[in-house]
Amino acid sequence: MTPTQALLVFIALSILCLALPLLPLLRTLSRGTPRPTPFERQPEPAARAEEFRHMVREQFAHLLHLARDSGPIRGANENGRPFIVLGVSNHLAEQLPPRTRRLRSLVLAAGHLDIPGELICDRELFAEGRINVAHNALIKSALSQRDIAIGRRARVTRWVRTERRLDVAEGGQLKGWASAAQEIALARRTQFEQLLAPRIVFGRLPEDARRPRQPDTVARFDPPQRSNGQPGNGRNLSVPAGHTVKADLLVSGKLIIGDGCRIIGDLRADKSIIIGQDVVIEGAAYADGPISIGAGCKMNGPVFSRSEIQLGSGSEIGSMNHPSTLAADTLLISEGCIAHGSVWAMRRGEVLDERNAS
Amino acid sequence: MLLASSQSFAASRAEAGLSLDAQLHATDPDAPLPLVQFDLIEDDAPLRISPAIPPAELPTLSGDTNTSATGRPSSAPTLRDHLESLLRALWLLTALLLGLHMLREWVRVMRVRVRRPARSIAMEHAPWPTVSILIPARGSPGAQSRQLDELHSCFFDYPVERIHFVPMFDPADAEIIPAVARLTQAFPGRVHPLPMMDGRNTTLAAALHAAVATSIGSALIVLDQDAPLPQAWLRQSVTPLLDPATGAVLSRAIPAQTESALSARLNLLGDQADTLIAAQSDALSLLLCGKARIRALRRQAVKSLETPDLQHAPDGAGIVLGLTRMGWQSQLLGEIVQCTADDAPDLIRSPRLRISIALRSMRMASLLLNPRIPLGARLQGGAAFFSAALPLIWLASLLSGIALYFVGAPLSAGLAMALCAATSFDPHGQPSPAFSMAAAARMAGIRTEIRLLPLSCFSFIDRLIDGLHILLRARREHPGPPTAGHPSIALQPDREAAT
Amino acid sequence: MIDPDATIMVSVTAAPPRSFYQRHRHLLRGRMAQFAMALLITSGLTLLLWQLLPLIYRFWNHSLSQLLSGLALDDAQRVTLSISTPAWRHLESVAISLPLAAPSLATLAAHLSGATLVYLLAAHLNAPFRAPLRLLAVFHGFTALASLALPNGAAYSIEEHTRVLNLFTQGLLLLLPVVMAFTHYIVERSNERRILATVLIASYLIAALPIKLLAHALLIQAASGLAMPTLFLVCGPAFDILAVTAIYAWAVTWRHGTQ
Repeated sequence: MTPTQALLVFIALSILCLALPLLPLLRTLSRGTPRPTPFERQPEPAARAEEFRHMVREQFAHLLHLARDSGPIRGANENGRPFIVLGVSNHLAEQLPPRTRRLRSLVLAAGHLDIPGELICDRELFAEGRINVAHNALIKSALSQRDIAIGRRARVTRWVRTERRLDVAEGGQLKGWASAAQEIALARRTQFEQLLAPRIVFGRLPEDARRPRQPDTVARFDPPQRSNGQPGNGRNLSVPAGHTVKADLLVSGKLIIGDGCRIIGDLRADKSIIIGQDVVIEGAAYADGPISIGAGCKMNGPVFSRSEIQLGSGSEIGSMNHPSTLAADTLLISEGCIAHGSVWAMRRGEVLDERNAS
Repeated sequence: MLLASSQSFAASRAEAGLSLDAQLHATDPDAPLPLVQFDLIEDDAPLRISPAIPPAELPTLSGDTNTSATGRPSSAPTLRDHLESLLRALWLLTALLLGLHMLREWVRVMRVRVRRPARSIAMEHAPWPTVSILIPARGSPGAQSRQLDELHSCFFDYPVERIHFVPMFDPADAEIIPAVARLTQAFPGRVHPLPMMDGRNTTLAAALHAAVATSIGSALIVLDQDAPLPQAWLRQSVTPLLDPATGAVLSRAIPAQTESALSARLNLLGDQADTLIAAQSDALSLLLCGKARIRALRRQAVKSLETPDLQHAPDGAGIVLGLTRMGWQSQLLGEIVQCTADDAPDLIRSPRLRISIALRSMRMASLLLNPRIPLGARLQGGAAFFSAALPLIWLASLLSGIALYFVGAPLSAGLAMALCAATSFDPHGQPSPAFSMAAAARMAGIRTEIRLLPLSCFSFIDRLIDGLHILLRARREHPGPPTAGHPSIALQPDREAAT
Repeated sequence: MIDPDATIMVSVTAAPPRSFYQRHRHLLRGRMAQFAMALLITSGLTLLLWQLLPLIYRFWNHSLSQLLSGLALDDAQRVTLSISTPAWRHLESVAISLPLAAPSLATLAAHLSGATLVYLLAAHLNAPFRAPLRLLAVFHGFTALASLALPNGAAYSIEEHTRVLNLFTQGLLLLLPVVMAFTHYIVERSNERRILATVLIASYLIAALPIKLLAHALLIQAASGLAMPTLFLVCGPAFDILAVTAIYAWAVTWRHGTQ
C-alpha cells in the first residue's frame, strides 16, 4: 500500500469514526419531520367496553338468537379467535373439559353466565342475563345487561360494565375500570381502581344510616391575624370544632378542620388536610399531601389528593343529584361510606377491614 | 474528582518534562531512532514516573521545560501563576455552580418521574365552570373559516351549554363573516364575535384584553394552533383548573408541520420536554421552564398593563415575579405590544438567554439577603435569580477554560470545555444537560426526535449569540446603564428586536 | 383579633394521615431490588473497566504503532508514559510526538482567509448552524493571531495536545458507568439495555481514540500550531461529550419492552 493510499484509508477511517455516533441522528434528520400525530388519549376502558358491545351487537346477535333455541355454539371468528355462545339453560362448566384451568375463548350467553371458581378467562365475557364470577376466578373483562357479582377473591383485570348493579364479595379485586348504571357495592377488603356509578357503597352500611347531626353551628371563625391587621402568611390553618366558615380556605401548609364544622367554600392545602367527624363541606377539597376525613362527613364537591385519602366510616361524597369525584393515588375507605359519581384510585384503592382495628 | 485530576495532571506534566527531554535530546537529530526499536524499548520498559521525584529537581526541570517550550522570561511565571490561579478559581466556582445546576435538574427530573401521576386525570363528575374558547385569527382567511367550520362538528367531552366561543375576525374580510355567522347559528347565544381592526390590534396579546372583557366564562381557553383539534381534550384541560391553586394549564402542544426545518424541530423538542415539567404544580418550576413560564409571565404582563400597581401573586411567587418584572416581563411586554403575529413565526420565543435581562436581574440579588422577606420567598427568588444568571455562568466557565488553555493548563481547560459542552443541550438556550431534555421528552411521549439532541448545541449557541446581539444593540442605543424601576428602558431593546 | 403566636385548640377525632414512610413503603420495597441491581451493574462495569485497563492500553499502543507504521510517518513517535501513584492503580497515557514547525506569515494569512471564507459561507447555512459557525470562524481568527505571538506558534507541542486528549478520554471512560447510572438508568428499565448502552459508548471511546489522536496530530502538523486551539475547543473534550451524548440520545429512544 502506497503512503497516499494509506492516508486515504486513514481519512476514510477518521470520517467513519466521526460519523458513527451520529448515524441515528442523521437517519432521523433525513426522514424529515414525522407527521403530527393527532393527540388522542389512550383508548379508555369505557370506549373499549362500548366497542365490545358494538361488536356483540354486530357479529353475535344472530348467534345468540340461534343459541337461545338450539343450544351452545362453538366456533371461531375471521381472526381465528374461538368463541362459545351459550343458550338460556346452558352452563359454561358443562362446555369445558374437566379440570380446565384456562379458557381462551370469548364467552357469550343468552341467559345467565356462571364462571366456575379458579378459572382464568383470557377473553371478554358477555351475558344478556346475570354474570356470576365464582371465588378465585380471574376474568379479563365482562359486560352484562343485568347484574354482575364478583365472588370472594375473584379478580377482574381490565374492565367490567353492567346495566344494573355490580357486587364484589370480600377480597375481590377490580383492576381497571368498573361501571354500573345503578350501583356498585364493594365488600370489605376489596381492591379497586376506577369506579363509576350513581351510587357506590363501600362495605356494610351502618344500621342507622347516618348519625344525628349536631345542631346548626353558628360560631364565627376569625382566621389568625398579624398585629398590623394583615392576614398571616397562611402556612397552617386550624378551624376549631363547631364553626361555620363561608369562604375558600387556601393554605400553603396543613389545614385542620375541627369536628362538626360546616365549610361553605373550597379547601386547598399544599400539605395535608385533616377533617374531623361530622363535617359538612359544600365545595371541593384539594391537597398535594394526604387527606384524612373523619367519620360521618359529607362533601359536595370533588375531593382530590396527589397522595392518599383516608375516608372515615359513614362519610358521603356527592349526592344522587350532584355526583362528584373522589380521586387520589391511594384510597383507603372505611366501611359504610357512600360515593356518588366516580371514585378513582390511581395506584391502589381498598375498602378497609376495621373489625380488628376497632 | 476535579482535584484528583488536576493532581494527576501536575504529575504527568512533571514527568513529561523529565522523560521527553531525556529521550529526545539523547538521540542525534540527524539520525532519528528507528521506530521499531523505540517501540520495543517502550514495550519492554515504559517510563515509570512516580510522584516521589525528589522535590529539588522538579521545579528546575519543569521551569526549564516551561521556558524552553514557551520561551517566557523568568520573571513571567509569577504573574502567570497569579493569573492561572485566578482563572482556576473562576473555573472552579463556575464549575461548581454548573454542577449544582446539573444536580438540580436531576432532582427535578427524578421528582417528575416519581410524582407523575400514573395517568392523566379527566374527571367525570365535577362542577364544571363555564369556559370561553378564544379562537385567534391566524393564517389565511380560508384557513380561518375552515377552522371555524370545523368547530361545528367538533366533539366536546364537556357540557355543551357551558362552552362559549369568542372568534376573532377582521370585519373587512368577506370570507370569514359568513363562517362566524354559521358558528353563531350552530351555537345560538354562545358565540361572542370579536371584530378586530386591521393593524396592531390583530395580535393575540392585544386581543386577550378584549376577549377577557367579551367572554362570560370563568376560564379562558386559547386555541394556539390551527391544527385539527383532538377528540377529547377539554375536560382533561379544565380538570386541573378545578384545583383552586391552579391558575393556568398548559395543554399538550400539538406539533405543527415544520417541513424539516431543524430549528423548529429542535424547539419543538425543547417545548415538549418543558411541557412535562411545567405540568408540575409548584410555581417555581412553572416559572423556570419554557413555554409555560412564558405564558404565565405573559399573563402577568397583560394584567400589569391593565393595573400596573397591583400585586398579583401571594408571597412566594411575589419575589419571583418582582424579579422578572424588570426583566423577562418587560421583555414580554415589548413583544406583546410590538410583535405582529405574522412576522414572527416563533412568537412565543423563549427569553431565557437574553443576557441583558440576566444582567438586569443581577441587581435584584440584594433582595435575597433581605431578612424581612420570608425564607421560602427568598429561596424561590434565589432559584429564579440563579436561573437568570446561568447563561452568564456558562459563558464565564467557557471563557475561563479558553484562558486556562492559553495560560498553560490544558487539562483544566478541557474539563471546563467538557462541562460547558455537557450543559448545552437545551435548544431554547438555557444551559441544560442532555439527560434532563431526553428524560423529559421521553416522558412526554416523544421518541425518535430525541436523537436530534446533539444538534441542540448549535441551537443553544445560536440563542447565545442572539442574546449578545441584543445586548450590544441595547448598549449602543443607551450608552448609560439602564436604571432599575424604569420599565420603558427595558422595553426598548425588545422593540428593536421586534423590528 | 387573635395573636399570631396563639395556638388554637382544635379537637379532631379523624385518624391522622399515615406517615410518609407508611405511604411510600410499597414503593420503596418495589424499587429496592431495582436500585440494588443498578448499583450492582454500575460497580460491576466500573470494576470491569479498571480490570481491562492494561488490555485497553495494549490495544491503544498496538493500534497506534500499526497506524504510524502503516502511514509510514518517519518523524512520528508513539510516546507512552506510565504514571504510578500510591493511591491509584498503574496508569498509562499514550501520545504522539511529531515535530511542529513554527508558522510563517503566509500560514497565518491562509488561516485568516480560511476563517473569513467560513464566515462568509456560513451565511448560506440555515438558522441553527449559521451563527455558531461564524463564531467559530471569529474564534479561529483571533486564536491564530494570538498563537502567532507565542514563540513556537503554539501553546503546546503535539505530544502534549494528544496526551491531554488521551487523559480526558480515559477519565470519561472510567466515569462512564457512573454517568450512565445517573442519566440513562433513570429512563431505561431493562438491565440488558443499560449494560448494552454503556458498553457501546465505552467501546466507541476505546476504538476511536487512536484514530482521533493521529488525526489531531496530522491535522496540526499540516495546518501548523495555529489550528491547535480551535481543534482543542471543537474536536477535543467537547467532541467526546458530543459523541457520548449522540449514542446516549440513541439509547434513550430504544423502545421499552412493554410498549
